[in-house]
Amino acid sequence: MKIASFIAVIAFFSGISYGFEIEVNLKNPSDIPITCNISLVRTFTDEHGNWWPDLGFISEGTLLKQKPRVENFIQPGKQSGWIKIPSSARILVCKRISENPVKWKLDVKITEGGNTISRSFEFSEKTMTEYIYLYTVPSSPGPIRPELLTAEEIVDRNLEIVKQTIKNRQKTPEKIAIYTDCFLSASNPSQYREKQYKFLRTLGINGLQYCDPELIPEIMEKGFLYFRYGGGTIEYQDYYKIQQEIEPAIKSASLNLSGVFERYNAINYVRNLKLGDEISSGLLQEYIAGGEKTRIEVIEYLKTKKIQLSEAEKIELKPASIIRNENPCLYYWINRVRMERINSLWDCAKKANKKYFPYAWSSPNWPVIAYLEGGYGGYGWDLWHLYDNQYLDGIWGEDWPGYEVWLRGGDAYLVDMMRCQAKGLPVGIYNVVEANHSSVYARYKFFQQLINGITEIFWYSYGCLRGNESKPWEIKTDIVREIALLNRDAGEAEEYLLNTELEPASIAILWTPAQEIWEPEYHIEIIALYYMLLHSNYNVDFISSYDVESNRLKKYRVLFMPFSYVENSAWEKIKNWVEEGGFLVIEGGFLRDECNREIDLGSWLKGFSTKRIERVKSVGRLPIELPKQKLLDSTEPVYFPVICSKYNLTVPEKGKCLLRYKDQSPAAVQVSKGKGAVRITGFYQGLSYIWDQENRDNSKWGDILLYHSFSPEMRIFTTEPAGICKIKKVCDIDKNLVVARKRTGKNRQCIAIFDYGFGSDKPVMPVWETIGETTVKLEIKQAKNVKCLNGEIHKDKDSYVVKFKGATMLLIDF
Amino acid sequence: MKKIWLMISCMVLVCAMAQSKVNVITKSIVVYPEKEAGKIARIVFNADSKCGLLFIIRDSKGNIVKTLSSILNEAGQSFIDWDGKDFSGRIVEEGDYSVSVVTGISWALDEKFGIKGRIGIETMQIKVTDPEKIVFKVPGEIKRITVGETEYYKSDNLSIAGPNYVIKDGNIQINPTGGAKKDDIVNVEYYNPFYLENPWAIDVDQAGNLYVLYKWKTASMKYPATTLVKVSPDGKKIVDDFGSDGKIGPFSGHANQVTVNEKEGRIYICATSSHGTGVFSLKTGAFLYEIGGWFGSGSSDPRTTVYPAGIAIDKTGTKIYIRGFSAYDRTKEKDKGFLYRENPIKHSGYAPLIDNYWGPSMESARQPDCFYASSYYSDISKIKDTGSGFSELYNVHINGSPVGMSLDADTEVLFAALRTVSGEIAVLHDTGFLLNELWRLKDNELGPTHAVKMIGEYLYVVEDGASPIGRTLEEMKKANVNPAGKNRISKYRLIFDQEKDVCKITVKK
Repeated sequence: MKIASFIAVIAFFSGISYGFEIEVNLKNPSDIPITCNISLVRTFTDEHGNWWPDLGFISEGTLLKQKPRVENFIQPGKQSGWIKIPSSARILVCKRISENPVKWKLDVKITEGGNTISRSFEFSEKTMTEYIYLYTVPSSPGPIRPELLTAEEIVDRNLEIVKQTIKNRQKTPEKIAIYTDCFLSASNPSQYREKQYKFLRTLGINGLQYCDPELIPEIMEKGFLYFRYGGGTIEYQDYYKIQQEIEPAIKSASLNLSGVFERYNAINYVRNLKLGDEISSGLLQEYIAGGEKTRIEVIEYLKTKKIQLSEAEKIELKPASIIRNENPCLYYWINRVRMERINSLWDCAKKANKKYFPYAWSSPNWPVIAYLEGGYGGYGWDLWHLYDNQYLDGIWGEDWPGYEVWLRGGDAYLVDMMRCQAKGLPVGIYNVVEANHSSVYARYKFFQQLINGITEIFWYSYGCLRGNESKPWEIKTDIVREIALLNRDAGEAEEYLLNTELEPASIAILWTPAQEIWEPEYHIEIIALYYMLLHSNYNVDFISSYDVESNRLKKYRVLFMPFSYVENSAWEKIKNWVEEGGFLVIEGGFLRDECNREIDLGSWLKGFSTKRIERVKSVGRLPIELPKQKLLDSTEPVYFPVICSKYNLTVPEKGKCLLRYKDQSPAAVQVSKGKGAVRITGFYQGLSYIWDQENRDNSKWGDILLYHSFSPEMRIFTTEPAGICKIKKVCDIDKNLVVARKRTGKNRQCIAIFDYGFGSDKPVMPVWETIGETTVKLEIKQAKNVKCLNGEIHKDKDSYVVKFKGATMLLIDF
Repeated sequence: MKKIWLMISCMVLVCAMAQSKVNVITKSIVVYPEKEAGKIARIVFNADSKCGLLFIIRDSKGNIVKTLSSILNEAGQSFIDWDGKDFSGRIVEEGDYSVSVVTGISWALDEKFGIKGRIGIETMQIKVTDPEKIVFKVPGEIKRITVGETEYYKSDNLSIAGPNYVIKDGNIQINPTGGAKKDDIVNVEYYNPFYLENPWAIDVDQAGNLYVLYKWKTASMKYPATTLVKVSPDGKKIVDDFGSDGKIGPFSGHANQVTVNEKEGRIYICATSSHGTGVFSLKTGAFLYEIGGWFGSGSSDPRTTVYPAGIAIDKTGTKIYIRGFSAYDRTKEKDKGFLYRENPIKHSGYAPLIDNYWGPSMESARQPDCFYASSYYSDISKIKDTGSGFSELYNVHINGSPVGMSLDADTEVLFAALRTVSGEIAVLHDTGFLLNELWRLKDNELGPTHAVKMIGEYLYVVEDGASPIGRTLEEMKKANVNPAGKNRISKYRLIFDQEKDVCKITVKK
């Protein structure tokens, strides 16, 4: 699609009004009278009032916002004449009310902008209800035009698209689960259900979520292998309860669900159970409002963990803002208990489900809000409590549909983060590709997920398969096509993916509860920093204070502390790790402990001191608001913008100054310590990286999603420690923004390559037609066979030359 | 603690019946079932008094192939014939068969079960010596405390402490302002060893676990609810690794009968909700689906099972018979398995006269297409599924209003709980052409019984615990039927007075 036409499409669909008129004419060609009614309906409404279409998946249960019916009694051989229908929805429900099995006919006429389309439908005597979609095909050449199609015709059309797309590519995944939702009901005509099953199976879907239980036997018979359901789950209101309070309801829910599957002897088809939806820690103030119950819980926690507060730090509950100032240590520990108490709730739900579904793993839907909003306030991050895998079987990620982020590698961040949290446990993820997104997006996401070892992937039907909520009548043929291909890629790759492991990272980014509790806004530096490491082609792990305290730091050679708060106990271990040879990067210029006390870096790094110049409290959301922050300063000799926070540093003894602010005061210093080294920056590198490209490009592409022109110089500076420590890049790819991820096994290897520059030095629309071809050389030794998905590969002496667009995956046999 | 009189109701452990003496005259006989001559083996015997006799015919391996029964109204000589056919009507193999005769039956409480053989409500009485300090301990959950007419505690109150009593450290102290005087008797009813209010129906699996339906009601409830609880074989605890803490339900409908089918791994509970029969997992207690219920135009809809009072399953096929009577394919839910309905049938059109139309009142017969139904007229009928409806094969009048039944399929002996004031169990034999009431089991400690379950050598007896109200109560009083039992389940070991090998029969073809 050309850019111009793409924009035109957006413009066309941006209006919510329905500028058409619809009329119907009911006909009774039989020799007995009939009564029928016609109504226009919306089908599925989300919490924002947007409606989703259920294209081709319609069932009585999902019909919402039904408009007043037009009901008619029609004598034999007569017709109703043209009746105008209120035109604010897009699905016509045509019902024969009288029981007599007679054929009847309906003429439908749409007038839009002076143009009229019409079509006659004849309904069989076998069916009582038919659905007609007022359907638009936006990808057709020429002006957008509405069509009138029955639900079955829509399915047929989609099926034909898929069939044409997947010629000679029959293998679909069997061990990797590919789900979508199932809105079919037993009340749908069987032939219609058949068509849907065929479409989904042809698409490569092998699992369904929340199907009508009555359909379980036929779904299994049609070759679907997996189910995903909500078992015993935790709800938002459960958070403040104790385990004993939620246990009966959870057990009961799981028990009841098990009955559904036991009935059909299908318990072992249930692969994943949802434990809850985006539920994380509750709000501090509400937790404190728990009064004595909370106080006892905190006392018990401290006793169990053998943590002693000082005499002055009495466990006395007051409003959060007062405790924060009066008793910072208590403030920290109350928050820790608040954050961790959910573990026992998850554990309770996990165990209840395990009892009745021994073959399934349970997982909450990971609270993506944390990712979007950047931390504290009762949302997210807390699933770091998966540490030691005590409480959960795995996690299920809610994909971030933030289109403007993915071009930077946001999806990579999401799945990398989930991988690090789950530490070998299964991970699942929802995939949203909205109708106004490019199908290229689907491939980036999907390949990132596969290469990171995610084995449960869910294609949201809205967006991916059925338009999206604001433009539900679209048929997104390009997305359907892409999904069909991707599912087959997964089919071909699954033996390679499942029998290999991601190469271990030597670089880690630290997360701490202390930071989350004291200054959550600056968590977004984690993401920003991650982009630089990703774009530099380094594997990176996210670790937490829990990992540090469990002595898991030693396997890393470089540790980034992308913010300033760290627990004293973790900090002691980090210092030892440096003395033993680790390279530590501290961003921001200062450190404080869990009780908000300054950590005296000068006593450890002789001669070092720091002075706050400016620090803003509200950093803002990373993709959208951050670029609005004002520039505080910049650095030299390399131009790095300084935003949000600026600290002046002194150079430690025997240390060196790496960067200076414009006033020539040190902005980044580095010093050897024991066998290792410490680098401290007085500003945040990642935030600058994100802000910088926006400022410099100033491309006027505005909202059209172009954030892919980052500064290579900044990446080089920030990731320099990795080079000093001789950490190898994933693949030796010498191309800006082209990165690889590699999984290696006994006789196999799998390499995914992503071009975050889209084959162009200049901004391009991320659609297949406009992104450029990328060529990279890779050294692959002693390969018996190399296969390239979504690209071409040929051998050139000792290396292989890979040509691809966007993202590719290599499957290698040794 | 001051001196307290503690009087726990005594329990009679063994109740035996006077047995008749029988002398079997026929010692050996040859039968030719396939020939015209000699096709009947006639066993001649003498009895010294009127009696019921059960003859058990075993093959050379000891398997019971057939049972026969006879009731003698007076002492003297009599006979019984065997045609050489087994329970299913097939001619048995050639060979020698031995005959034993059971002349009577007695029972004894299995004291290893529950609290000395029973679970449910127990009572204790305390004589007031000092009205200022009425303090005592109760070993189980309290149901009710009364002194004379004054009610000090009722479990329905759902409160921990009320104005008339205090519970502290396991001790109960009656408030002296309640009005109890010296020498008054404090009556305490309590559940032991666990809560079991108004047990209603029972089934038992091969491992001995009890599946008990009990009905309960709080002050705020208009109608009682029913819960199924799984009890350990020793009767000492609830099996909490089942259902939700050992229970499934509560069912807002009048759940009446429970049937466990271990082969299928299913529990069938009659009338769980909306008049349907719930099917549950035997392994977990999970609800699977419901059979029958309320459909279309309601009670006039042939598919509707309205207030079903009993169920019986066809053990070799997939049918379920639901009181009314309806036949369903039990593998299908709701009305999808509906086959046919026929109602009423003579003698069996109504459920027994107990708590309106509800009571466990059906039992599968040995023949897959037959079942027993206890009826309004104090009858037990044997009903046959004709494939398109139901036909009553035969019936017997039982004094005492039979309710729940349990068949020992090995001998075709049917046990029926009776609503007699002093609890009795009728013991019948299904001869294939009539039902002989052979004996009655009696225990003076029993009140009206409601359900029984025979398994192995044990018989579980359920005494319900709640009185019906309104018209039903009036009708029961008119019929001299005691409205409520003692709220317990007892486990008895049955002892058959059996004389073995009284006769040998040789079958030749």
